[in-house]
Amino acid sequence: MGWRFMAPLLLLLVAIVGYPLFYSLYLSLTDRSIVRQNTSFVGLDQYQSLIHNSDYGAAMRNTIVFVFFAVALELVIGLALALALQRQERARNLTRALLLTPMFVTPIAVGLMFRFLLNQQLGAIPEILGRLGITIDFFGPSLALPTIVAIDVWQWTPFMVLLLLAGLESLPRQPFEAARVDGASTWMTFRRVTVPLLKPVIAIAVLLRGLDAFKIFEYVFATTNGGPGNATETIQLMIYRTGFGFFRLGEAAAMAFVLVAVVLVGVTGLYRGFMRQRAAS
Amino acid sequence: MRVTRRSFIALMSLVVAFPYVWVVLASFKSPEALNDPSSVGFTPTLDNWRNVIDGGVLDSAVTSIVVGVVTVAIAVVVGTLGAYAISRFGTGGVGTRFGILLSQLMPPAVLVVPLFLLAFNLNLRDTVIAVIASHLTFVLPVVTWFMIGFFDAVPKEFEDQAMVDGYGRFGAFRRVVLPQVLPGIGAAAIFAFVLSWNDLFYALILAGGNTETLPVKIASYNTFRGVELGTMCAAILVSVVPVLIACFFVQRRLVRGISGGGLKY
Amino acid sequence: MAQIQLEQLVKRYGDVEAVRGIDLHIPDGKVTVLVGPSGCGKTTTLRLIAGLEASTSGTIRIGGRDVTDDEPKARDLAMVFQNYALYPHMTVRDNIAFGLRAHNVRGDELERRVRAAAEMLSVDHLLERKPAALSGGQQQRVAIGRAIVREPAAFLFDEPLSNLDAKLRVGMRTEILRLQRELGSTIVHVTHDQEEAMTLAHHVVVMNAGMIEQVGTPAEVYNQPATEFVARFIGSPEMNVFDSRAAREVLGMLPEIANGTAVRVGIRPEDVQLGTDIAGHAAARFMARVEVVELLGANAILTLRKRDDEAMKALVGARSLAAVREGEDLEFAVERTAVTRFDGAGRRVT
Repeated sequence: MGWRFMAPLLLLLVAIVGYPLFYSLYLSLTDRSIVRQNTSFVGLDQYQSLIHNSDYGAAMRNTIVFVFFAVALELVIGLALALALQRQERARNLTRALLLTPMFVTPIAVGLMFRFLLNQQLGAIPEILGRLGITIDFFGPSLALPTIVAIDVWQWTPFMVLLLLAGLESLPRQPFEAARVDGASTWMTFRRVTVPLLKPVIAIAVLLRGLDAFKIFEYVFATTNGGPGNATETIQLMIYRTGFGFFRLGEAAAMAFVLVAVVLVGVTGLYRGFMRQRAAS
Repeated sequence: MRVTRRSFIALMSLVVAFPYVWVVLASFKSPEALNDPSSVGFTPTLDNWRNVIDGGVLDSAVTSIVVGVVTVAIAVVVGTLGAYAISRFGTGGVGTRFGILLSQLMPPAVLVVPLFLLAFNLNLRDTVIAVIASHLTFVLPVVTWFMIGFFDAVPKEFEDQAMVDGYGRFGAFRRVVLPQVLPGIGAAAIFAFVLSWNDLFYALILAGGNTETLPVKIASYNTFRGVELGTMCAAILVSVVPVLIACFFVQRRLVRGISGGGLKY
Repeated sequence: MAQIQLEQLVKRYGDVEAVRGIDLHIPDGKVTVLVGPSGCGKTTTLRLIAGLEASTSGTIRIGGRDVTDDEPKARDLAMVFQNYALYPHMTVRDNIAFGLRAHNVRGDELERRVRAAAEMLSVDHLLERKPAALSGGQQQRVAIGRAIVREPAAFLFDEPLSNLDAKLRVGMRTEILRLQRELGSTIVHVTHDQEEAMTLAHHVVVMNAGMIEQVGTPAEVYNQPATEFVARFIGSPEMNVFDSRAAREVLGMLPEIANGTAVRVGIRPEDVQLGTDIAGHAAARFMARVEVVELLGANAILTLRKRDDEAMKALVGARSLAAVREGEDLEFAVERTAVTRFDGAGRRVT
């Protein structure tokens, strides 16, 4: 019975996700290119060349570093903000509404906003910092990636806040009342009551945000385009350039699948770690 | 404690609001004013906004609306039906609930290449169909997952009652269950629309010259020519303001909906 | 109204048999109550009759017609659920009319029937309200009105009184009885409350672990329980049951054998009286310590214990309490005719 209701969903998913997925896998085993006429099956050659491709390695490194720092910062700041918002009384809806907005702005707009806000010549922020005697080159070789991280944090911390706030508001009140009666300090309550109870929510939030962070594209596209040099080259950007700049579709498909593999490994590791923690507690 | 909390929130509010304020101001600045960041006072101009109307920004916004509405319409119909099956009959087993989210695992990079080739071969390059299909890949799972939570919250007895009263399974679904999840459908639809509205990656690759969406148009302002900066900010506002208004209304239900339905595993 | 027949009905969920091949005749125009502890299969049986679950094997007939493979909508039954299942987005009027509309009743006839049902349940002044604006008792009436308006072959009640507070529950029981007498309805009523079963039923069906232990009138299941299970389930406080050794020691009765196994002895608490209240030699007398006295009003429950044996309960009139003190030993007596015997398989031995 249920299958009759499920059928449209399944058919659609097979058509637009399932089939392209397998097609992509097939492509990654060829040297398909829009520019050339004939395509030949090359087996694992694409993957092999990727292993030796230092640019790809750099992009992978950048992406992983980016994901790690971005998600970590978003978790910490997001948790602090969620806790603060939960207790806030005045102008509740207004502040919440305002603080949640960044996640709904189209990322390319966010990227471009910050590109010009932080621009050495035209930007308001270097101007203000300059008046204070501080010179920072936000898109220079050492700071470019951290700047991209900061942009991500601006846009996506609200997402963490949303999930964590929802989680906090659905926590039972009794453990906290018991802690108050027992005389626990704020920090102790946080460490020993709030965090353990919030663990499932934190896990989901980190998972969802982490998965999304691997797809980082718009901010780099809007600002540094991978530069200076390799500093902000990320996987999705590289795939875009390889597949739709150079039209080497087979290679692009292979790059994408390696990313999928890395993500799967990361997710499985997270999942196992979470399950192990659950069993231990 | 309260002072720290309040100043923290105030600081965060400033950090969030600052770029918005800058963009709004910049959309009214002339190219000369924009070139000089140290000028605080300026004479506002409507040139940028005129460019928005003439320069194709509104056209791309319309395209974005069309893509969004069609995507959401399909996703809501198909996803709600599927979510009902998963919630009520456990169709597909325990794995399906999680499996739905698995397609979020897929970076768009994996799907965009074959979708591009498919569009190429099927001669769909300058239509919005390819973009809609690509948007469905991430909108469908989100809508389905949302609705599963809402269906879980409706007690089974209503359908049992309706079936004994004289309706079949689908009749019971339509008359008794669906009316009760309408708020959920509304929230899911808005959320899904925003996801589609904001996408750049797929639209950049799969849309043709005449079928640009708004984010693509905004990206086209990505040059260093200061003369475009004001128009770009105006275009950004065209993209951002409707979404902010929509989300003002949805945010309360989002928090409730996520804590009620979505976080339960 | 119609009779319902269940033949060799089986329902299996994976490895678990919730209903294990039951045969049951539910007579026309009477109230049949399925009663038993949680998990005994009574609700599953009801849902099988309704068609909400498909049977694994066996036959279901309604009014002689085989409906085993029919959808619920084709069985002409009305059901009232524990939580009433009133459609929250519809008014009371639309709730009551819902089933009629499903069967293509329209216009004046629809109006007439809805109004008649609402008046019969005294909810006609609530027709334009939504369920959320009704009290628990009113919701229950609307739920029953929704069932009555359909004039079905039979009514199925799935513990509809469980959500009411005690006073309302008693009131509603009387209401249901009144309606049933007036309409001559066939009712299949499921409950876990043996008192509810006793007061409502023409026929009681005691179920346990997917099987029927006994079918009979309330008097029959009370006075002539077929098995030890029925004897202990029906009647409050529960019947005291002893094995032979305890029977001998406590009551001074000789052990008996039936069907090759030692007999178990059952005595209802109301048959355990103070020694002073029973005259004559037809009674077995014994001494026991009164551990607890629970005063109910007109009666009192005494918990008795003789030495280290199991405790037993006695139900005595409040007037007899003058001589009773907690912690003291007193003489008690049981008429020998008031003793029920069960063999090793739990069946009553006559």
